[in-house]
Amino acid sequence: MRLGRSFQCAVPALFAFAAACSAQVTFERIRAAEKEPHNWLTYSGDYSGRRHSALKQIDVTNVAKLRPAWMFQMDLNHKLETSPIVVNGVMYVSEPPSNVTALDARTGQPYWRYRRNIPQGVRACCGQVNRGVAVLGDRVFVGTIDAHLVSLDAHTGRVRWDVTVENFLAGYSITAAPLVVKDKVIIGVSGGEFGVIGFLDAYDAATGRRVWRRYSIPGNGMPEQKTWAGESWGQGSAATWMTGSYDPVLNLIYWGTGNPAPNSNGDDRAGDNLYSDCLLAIDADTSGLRWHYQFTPHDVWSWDAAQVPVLVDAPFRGKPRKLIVTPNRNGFYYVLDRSNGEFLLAEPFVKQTWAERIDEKGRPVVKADAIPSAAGAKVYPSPEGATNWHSPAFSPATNLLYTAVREAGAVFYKLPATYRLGMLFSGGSWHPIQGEEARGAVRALQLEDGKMKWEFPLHSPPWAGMLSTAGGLVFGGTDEGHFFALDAASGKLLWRFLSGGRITANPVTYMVDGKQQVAIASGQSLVVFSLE
Amino acid sequence: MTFRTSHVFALLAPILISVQASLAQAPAKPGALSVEAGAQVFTAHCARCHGAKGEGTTGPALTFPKLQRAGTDDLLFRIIYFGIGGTEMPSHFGLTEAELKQVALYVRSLAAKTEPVGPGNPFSGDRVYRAAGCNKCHTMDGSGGLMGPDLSGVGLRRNPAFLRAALVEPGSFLPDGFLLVRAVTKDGKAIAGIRLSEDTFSIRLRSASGDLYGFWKEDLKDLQREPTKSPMPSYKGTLTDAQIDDLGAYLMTRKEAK
Ligand code: HEC
Ligand code: HEC
Repeated sequence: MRLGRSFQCAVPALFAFAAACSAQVTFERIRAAEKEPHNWLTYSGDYSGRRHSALKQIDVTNVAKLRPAWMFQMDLNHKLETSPIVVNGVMYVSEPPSNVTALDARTGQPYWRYRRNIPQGVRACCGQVNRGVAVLGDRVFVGTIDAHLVSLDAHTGRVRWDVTVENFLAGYSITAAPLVVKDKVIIGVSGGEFGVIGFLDAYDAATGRRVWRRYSIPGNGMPEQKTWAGESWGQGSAATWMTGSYDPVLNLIYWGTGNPAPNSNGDDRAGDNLYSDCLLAIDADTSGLRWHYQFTPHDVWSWDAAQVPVLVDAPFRGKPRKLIVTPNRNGFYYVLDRSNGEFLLAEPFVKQTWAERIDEKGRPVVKADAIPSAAGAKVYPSPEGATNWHSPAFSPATNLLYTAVREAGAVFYKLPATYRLGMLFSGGSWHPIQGEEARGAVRALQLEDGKMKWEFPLHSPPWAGMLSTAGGLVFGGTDEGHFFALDAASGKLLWRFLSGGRITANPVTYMVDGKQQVAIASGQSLVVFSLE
Repeated sequence: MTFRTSHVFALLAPILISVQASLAQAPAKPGALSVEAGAQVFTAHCARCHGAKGEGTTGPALTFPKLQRAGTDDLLFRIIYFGIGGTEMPSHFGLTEAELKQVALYVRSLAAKTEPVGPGNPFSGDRVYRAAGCNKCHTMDGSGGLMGPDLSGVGLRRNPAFLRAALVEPGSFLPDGFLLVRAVTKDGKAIAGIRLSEDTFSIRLRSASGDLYGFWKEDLKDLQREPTKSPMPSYKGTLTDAQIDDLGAYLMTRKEAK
């Protein structure tokens, strides 16, 4: 990795400070990531989960001149959900199922490639995908579809250590990007459709030794285990399959958890099923659970709460607060106090027909006819959710939360479910509502009350995340392959490009040689744009 | 969640059992390999197309002693698991191995029931088809119009009741994704046709004469969608009841696989 050259440091004066010229990514640099926006140092850009960049070379006045700079074609035929990391002109991009390539962001050509052999029999409900890597020091970390965590040398791509997180034959896999916190690599697991037991792990970045494990299902003797009838907790899932956020001041990691298993049949798991569909606030050093909030107690619709939570410091009803906000798959936008988990607000942001309301304690009042049955129950949103793993974005300039929403309902069926190790454990089925065309939109929600400020309608429900920039822009993508930029204040379309492949990924932005680039995965390629 | 792995089938391969044999020894325990358990799976996964009891609704009836494409148990498993490419029959990667076996067992159990034969004479139906001008809009055996679906394999995918409804009440069921649209350009030109594809910014359609049109939506003055409308005229009144039965019988014999 040729990073020593001086042009690597040729960033605008505004961002030029010593640390930014070093190849060594430190925890302090990630913590202050907003100060070096020419890099994209962690999954969501910074620890807050905002997916917002301070870059403004590309702005509302010139975005119409955005053109493809280069494309990188991947050589494996899987869905692309990757979100790259960029450090001083070097882009680390994961390729499905579990490969990593280091690219020269200037020319688009590779420095090195890491290729992993995937054993037969890996379980993945929804494609052998990978959403990205993490970096610390001169290491790159990737979770694999066969449920390992691998540390690569950033200079060569060579494996420095490779640890088994869990046994893939039992239904575990890893699709999320790891999160580096201090000297640890935090990683969650997928497997919610296979009746696994979810957990969040922390590994020592230098050695790969496991430092702690926090189960997302309460252990024996814990009173919360009573929220599962009988022994049903033992295959309850609550997978931790997306990347969380982190507050360095409170030293809390915020991580979402997935559906309880079996997904659509709750008969054998009476109770709230903690900590499925929760946001967990976990002490980064001790793994102690500071608080939890459950969005959908006793979920039977597969509404995982795994999506990236967004941390914002802002006044709420006149009082300055440390907030955590998240548009949930169940159709409600939530505002909580992230220091103590206090429920502050829930406001629907799509059509939803399952809850009468969310009560003042934050508990949904569920409609009886929304429960999946043998004959089928018509419910909005669909099991794919009002939104899903694709990231929202938040702009401090507009105070708006941008989310790519899915307007769709489904008919949910309940079926008997028998747990067998490593086998699908879904307890039901669903299909779209006949004669209804599902729709999508980008919606801008007001932080404090969740009310919609504007929307940009999309033909199909999207699987592409948002990126907001100080240039007053919001980027997003469509199922039919368009990558586009909207005016962050008004939602007006300012630019679009047809990439030719379905977009199921999150955009990132950074700078090389003084030029701002925007990158998005599409079809089997990564497409990178800059101004003409 | 959607399920896209193929491991279920891989695991299933060594245990492709004779469903008939297991039917004889089917235990009654719920969740086990029984016709009752299969019926439940069928309700959740198949009934919306194949009817509550396999009599067919929008999809074909499955009550035949010998299914066209699923003559052997191996083929039946494959069709259920992978679907039939290029048709409305979807894959079912989300089924567990047990559910797959149960539903296959249920489908086989339907064979005991009688085959739904519609009334009518297929030979007279052939003549009605040619006389009534169906050819203007439909392709049969490689020739004909493009407005409606190709009917060469219609007997594979539909059942007599569906075909009767299609003739007397067009639009009562529109094939997946079928949409009639009318686009009006800024200079006032109106073009009607069937939507071929659409995205957030643009749309493409084919007119009755087969011409292809593509538009940016921002260049259109108006774009009307007719989600419940079929361009096909109703033949109720134009054709006699007996002629409609004959047509239905003829169409049921059209079983050319894609
Ligand atoms: C979305 C509608 C739809 C669903 C759901 C569906 N099918 Fe089908 N199926 C079809 C159609 C349409 C065909 C005929 C395809 C063709 O030949 O054009 C078909 C064909 C078949 C065939 C072949 C019939 C023959 O005569 O050879 C079998 C067997 C079958 N389906 C079984 C099932 C089972 C079992 C399920 C549930 C697990 C199911 N299908 C779910 C629409 C559906
Ligand atoms: C003006 C054009 C037009 C004419 C004439 C016409 N059709 Fe159609 N037909 C369509 C279109 C378009 C559809 C698809 C939309 C729908 O299902 O209504 C269709 C659908 C059908 C279907 C359902 C096919 C399926 O798989 O869903 C059948 C069967 C059918 N037509 C038979 C006939 C017969 C028989 C005649 C002559 C008596 C005829 N049609 C005349 C346009 C036409």
